[in-house]
Amino acid sequence: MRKILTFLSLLLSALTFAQEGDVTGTVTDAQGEILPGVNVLIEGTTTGTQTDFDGVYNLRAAVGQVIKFTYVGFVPQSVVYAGQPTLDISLKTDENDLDEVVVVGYGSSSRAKVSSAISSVKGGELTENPVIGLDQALQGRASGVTVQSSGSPGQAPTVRVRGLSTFGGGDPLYVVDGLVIDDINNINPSSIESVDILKDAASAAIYGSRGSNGVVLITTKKGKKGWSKLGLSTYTGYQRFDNRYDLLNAQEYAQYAEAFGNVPPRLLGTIYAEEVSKNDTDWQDEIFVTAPTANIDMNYSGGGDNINYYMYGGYIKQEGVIINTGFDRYTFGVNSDIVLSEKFKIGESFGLGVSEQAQLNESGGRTIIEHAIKSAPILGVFEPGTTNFQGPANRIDDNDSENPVRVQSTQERINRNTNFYGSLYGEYEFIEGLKFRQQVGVNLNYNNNDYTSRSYDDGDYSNELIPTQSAHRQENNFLTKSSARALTTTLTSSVTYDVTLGDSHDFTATAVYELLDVFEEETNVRSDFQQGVENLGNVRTSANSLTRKDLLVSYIGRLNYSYANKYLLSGSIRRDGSSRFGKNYLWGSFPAASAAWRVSEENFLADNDVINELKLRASYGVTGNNDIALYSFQSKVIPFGGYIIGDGATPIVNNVFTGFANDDLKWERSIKTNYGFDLGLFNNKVTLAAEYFTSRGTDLLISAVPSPSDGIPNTTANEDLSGVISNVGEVNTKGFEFQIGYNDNQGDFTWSIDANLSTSKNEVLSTGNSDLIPISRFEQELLNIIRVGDPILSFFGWQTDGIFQSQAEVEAGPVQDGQTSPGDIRFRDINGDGVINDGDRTIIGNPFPKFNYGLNLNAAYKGFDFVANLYGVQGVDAFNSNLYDVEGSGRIFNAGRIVLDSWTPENTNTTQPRVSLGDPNRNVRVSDRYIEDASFLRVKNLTLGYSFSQNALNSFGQGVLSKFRIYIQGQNLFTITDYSGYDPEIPARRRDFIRNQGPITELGVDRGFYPTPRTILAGVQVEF
Amino acid sequence: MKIIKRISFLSLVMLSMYSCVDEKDLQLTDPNAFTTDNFTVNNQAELLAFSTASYGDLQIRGTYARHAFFIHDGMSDESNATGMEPDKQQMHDYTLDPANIGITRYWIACYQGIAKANGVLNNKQLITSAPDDDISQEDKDQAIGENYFTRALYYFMLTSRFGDVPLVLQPVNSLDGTPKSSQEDVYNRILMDLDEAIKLCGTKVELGNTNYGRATKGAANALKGKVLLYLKQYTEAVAAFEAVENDPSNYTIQGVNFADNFGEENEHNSESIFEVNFSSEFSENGDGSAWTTNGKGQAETTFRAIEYAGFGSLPVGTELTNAFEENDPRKDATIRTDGRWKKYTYPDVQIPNSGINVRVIRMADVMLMKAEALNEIDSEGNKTEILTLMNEVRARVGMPNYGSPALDPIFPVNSKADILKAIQHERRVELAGEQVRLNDILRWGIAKEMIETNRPTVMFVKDKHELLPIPSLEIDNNNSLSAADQNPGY
Repeated sequence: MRKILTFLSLLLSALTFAQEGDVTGTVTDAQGEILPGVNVLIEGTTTGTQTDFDGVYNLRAAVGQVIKFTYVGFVPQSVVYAGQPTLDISLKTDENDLDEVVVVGYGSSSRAKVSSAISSVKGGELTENPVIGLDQALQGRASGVTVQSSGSPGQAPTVRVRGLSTFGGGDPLYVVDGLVIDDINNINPSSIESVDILKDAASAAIYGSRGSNGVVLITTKKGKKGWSKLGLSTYTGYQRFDNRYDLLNAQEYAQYAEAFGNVPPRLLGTIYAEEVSKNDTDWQDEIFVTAPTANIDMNYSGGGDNINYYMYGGYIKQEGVIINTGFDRYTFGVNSDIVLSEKFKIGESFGLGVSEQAQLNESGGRTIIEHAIKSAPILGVFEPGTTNFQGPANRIDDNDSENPVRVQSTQERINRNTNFYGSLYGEYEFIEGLKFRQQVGVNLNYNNNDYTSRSYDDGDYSNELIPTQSAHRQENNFLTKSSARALTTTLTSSVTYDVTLGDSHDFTATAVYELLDVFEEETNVRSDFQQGVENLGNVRTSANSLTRKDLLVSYIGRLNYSYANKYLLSGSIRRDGSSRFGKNYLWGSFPAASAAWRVSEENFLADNDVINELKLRASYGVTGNNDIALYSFQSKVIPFGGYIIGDGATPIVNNVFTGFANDDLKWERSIKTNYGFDLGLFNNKVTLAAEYFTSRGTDLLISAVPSPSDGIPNTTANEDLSGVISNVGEVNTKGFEFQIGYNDNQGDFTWSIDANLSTSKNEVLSTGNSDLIPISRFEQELLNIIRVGDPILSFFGWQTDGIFQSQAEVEAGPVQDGQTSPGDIRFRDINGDGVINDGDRTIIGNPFPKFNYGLNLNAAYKGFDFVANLYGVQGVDAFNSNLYDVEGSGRIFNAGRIVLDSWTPENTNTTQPRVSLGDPNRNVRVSDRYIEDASFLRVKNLTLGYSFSQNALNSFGQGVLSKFRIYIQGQNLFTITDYSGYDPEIPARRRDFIRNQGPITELGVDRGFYPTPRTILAGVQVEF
Repeated sequence: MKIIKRISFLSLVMLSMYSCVDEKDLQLTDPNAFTTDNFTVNNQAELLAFSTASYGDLQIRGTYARHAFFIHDGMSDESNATGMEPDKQQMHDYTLDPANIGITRYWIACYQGIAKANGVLNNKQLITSAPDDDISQEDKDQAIGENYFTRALYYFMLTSRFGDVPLVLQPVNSLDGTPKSSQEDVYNRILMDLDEAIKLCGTKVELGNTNYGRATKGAANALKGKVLLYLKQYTEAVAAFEAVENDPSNYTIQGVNFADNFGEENEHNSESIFEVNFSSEFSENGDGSAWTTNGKGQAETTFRAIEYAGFGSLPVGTELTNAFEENDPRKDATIRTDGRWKKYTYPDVQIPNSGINVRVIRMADVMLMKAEALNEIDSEGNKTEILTLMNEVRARVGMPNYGSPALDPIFPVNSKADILKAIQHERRVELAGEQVRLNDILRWGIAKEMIETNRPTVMFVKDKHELLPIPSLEIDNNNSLSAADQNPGY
């Protein structure tokens, strides 16, 4: 009977629609992943089906009918049936899906119910194209999140959420699958499903004393229900760096040296001419190389009704574009969830990363790049006919500059990091909506830093006129090994109760108790050895070791309420107890509240054709920051230096009183507000979000640099003064964020644009007792400072006012120094007292940009996909200290060709001051002469890919392959900038520069950092 | 269900771990260092580790490893250089400003040393209450006395070059900073500290060679005499110098080769009163390169040898070269044939990590200072003693006596003024390059004339250049100082 009916109906439809046919096809996402369970419906009918496990559907349709494909989390797609037998469809992820799950602290929520400021980046965007670190994947993708990546292979990025509102480091808190992780550098981006960034206090205050700088929640991939899949992807490519400073060659260097008027004997006459002809070294070319990179990733995943699993492994190798640098990393991980009973489920997430990084060295407190700029071109890399390095032998040849090839060859700084994290959870549902969840997590990090320094003797210049005396030599070989192990255990117990009262009163209550326990140990060994014995320390060995403990106890409560999905209210409080602070301030409380109104749910907008979503949001809260060294509140007696007495057989290690106890050391607090709206137009074809935020940081923690006369022992690695951790000052930060998205399709052609723009402006409100807080110095003069009324870390120095053209002008100008001459720089007399001195320093630049922006384009046509990611920074100042060398100082170093245009009585139309030995006017003082606009727009990524269709795969892969994509990619292909240095994306310098951690010690200062290279890659992604 | 039970049990175990945490657990103490509350001194080795810390800052870059040479020898009339590092050239040319790196490092080093001395002097009970069985009363006195000495020495190094300076006598317990004290107050404190040091320190002979490098009664007396001479308190100065002469350690220049005072071989000889110890044997610091010596290593080295003789950064000026009398062997012991300095350098190849000790005060200096003080008190009445002292210095190097027919035509000694001239000459050639000359010509009031004669391009501004500028780092960071506290003219 039934068959007959079916037959009849078919017949009927055949009569009605003359051209009817069977259509079949595979539905995939934009990356070619097959999508099972997609609804396929003929519009205006009830005829429909779902795709199977292989993403395949079969349907009968008539020509002219519209087939609509819908799937949760994807933009619905409609295609007019033209009678073709196969119709493969690629669905686009819905960026603004309201059913999208957003991970929030200690839980998750649907996007619709979020009343705070949270940015999300989805796995597809993160992993469709290769990135080595999460930084590259986040850069320019989310409003309010700025990322400074470093060109140094494997170097940790600097991520900022909403700019800087602290005097300290400003790193966000990283949470991977509910577990706080210190080091995200060893997490493979291809294992990440989504990244949610908590930006305002209402979302971040749940992390209490660690939430001030924003929270980055990373969720790793889980297995999906369906057949198990094996994925494989690999790429290989090359990196190059081609920018150069335009420096003097040997002949020009000789000409320049003569302008100093004090040509050393060895630079005179025929011998000199002969020496000059021996070498013409381009030191920049000596340190840069073309470097290969390659990567392979594998994953295996699947799931059933009661279990899902995802396991992955990856290997990357990246050589650096500066000699003897590079990075390689292995990553492994397993995630799974098991449903044990209706009420009880358990799961785990484990990840392991093992990396090795060969870092760039410095020597004499100067970067390799600085050495490359300053080294005389008349010197060779090697002494003629030998493999001995050559270097300056006379002070006239600038002792400061060392042979950069030697520095990078005889010194080796290897950082090995092993990071393991794992968490297990069990979740039990007592009654409907009431869940208890217990998570236990471990993060184990081993970091080994090996520094080997081999003996060298940068031989003499083989000139009989100078004594056999090399300026740079080291007699011993030595090795220092620093091994650090940090074990963090986190126990989190939470109770959540979801309940709906009446028709429309939804409540979610959460209570959490968390205990975080950190144990760190560190061993530092130094051994001096003769060549060939390395680890034995056959000359001498010394060692020390340290252990540290850190404890954080937290009570957390949160209540969310929504009325008819229309009015949303949320309140939370966290109380933290920490071992990092003085005994008077062990505990701190961090409350927050937010509210939202979904205007689009109101009756007057319910049927609006244009506006399909409109939500207004507001939030307020208090977050904290505890990012200081452990035990900072204590005064200590530390082992320090040592004086040798008597015959000196055994040097004494002295015990020295340092610093002072501070029982009142306490949390840094930020009071934050956020106002925003989300708008969806034309069925979310156009999406728009905007935010306005303020953040007022108080009791800011800073390592305040004391007066030298305080005599606090200098425990820094150089001659700088050690700071004292104190609560000093206030800062106000505010800004806007905009994100606009548009997506559309034209038949098989689908495309989308996503643009974002963020501003963050900060102003220092108080610096405690001091007029200004000095942060960094250049050549002993203040550079980055913190001063009331200015942005944090503003550049401070003198303003230039042209060049004195005549003695009369010198006499008419303010008194600078005893020996100002025509051709010297006229500095501006800011305080008008007729004298140029310290009182004339002023703010000469702002290291924070006016705004950051990102533009991301995606397009797909049939099997082809195209992605472009652009990232820009506008209105930012940089202090290019390389110009100090390029434009020449009071001594003879190699310099830029610009010094040939120096002021002379005959050459007055120039901005380049006169050449003067000793620089009596101090033309090289910190001034706006070295400040440049470092705005840029960078094409971060251009990718063109092609995925073979299911049919093609079926025909040549016998159904074994379910995905086969090839692509080519260019990274950092173009940068539009006026900046004269290598790279306008200048990383902040951090106290721990090896791991890029700790407070910012310098911002926007280019001392010759590792520039970001251009990269060209080709890759393949396959799934079985 | 069995599994579930087990997991529930495990959860309970985990929960019970929480209960261990209470308020007390949050109060952690750094296990890697003593705190000021639990630090004690229990034996000889711990006593030394505690009490000798303040010497360390005499051997770092800011002081005798480097910058002190440029501040003294470079700014006096003894040298003439071009093309040095900017900070050093600017000192030398008297175009320096408060940001000068060299003077900043010098200032920092002195105050770092002072703070270490204060750490001991304000915790004397740690020493006095140390167990007696291992530590004698003399050891305890020495440990305290030597910190009075180092504090006095650092303040002398500061106030003689900077004038009024912050007088920090306690470990700081806030970041409020310390205001400046008058030079008079600073000198008074220096004298008080030296009196304590004289009382407490042992003599050189008592301490013996295992303690060479530590402050002695003789060193404290010699420095006291020098300070009093600077303060023009001549009678008291003579008394202090006499205490040096009468010291049981028998300080003498007799039997000491002049050149032996500047090499590695004869350190702490009988002429030596106070030396800063250096050793190339333990030269490595954090990263092993003498170029980046940061002063925190053990037994640091000095840069003097390579800087003065290797690179020849600071050649000897012609005025000094010409000041030597003909045939004065001290000329060859002071100046190399190529015009570079010879004192405190190696004969041939120079190394950046020199282990040659710097002699801060030696007996010849004391003898000439005593002669000068005696001349000021009563030139006529003391003439015999004055000439004896001066001629002993000359006799050692075989030079004719003052008052002898050979010397009378050029250095007569017929009046107080004559004798002062002769003393000025003798100090100049005897102590050249030993960081003495600049302070001498300043206190004699002849600095402008001498420096401008030696370096005609230099403009020495009176009432300005007698003092160095207070480093801007201090004025910027010290909340008790303002721009008005800068020394005049800077």
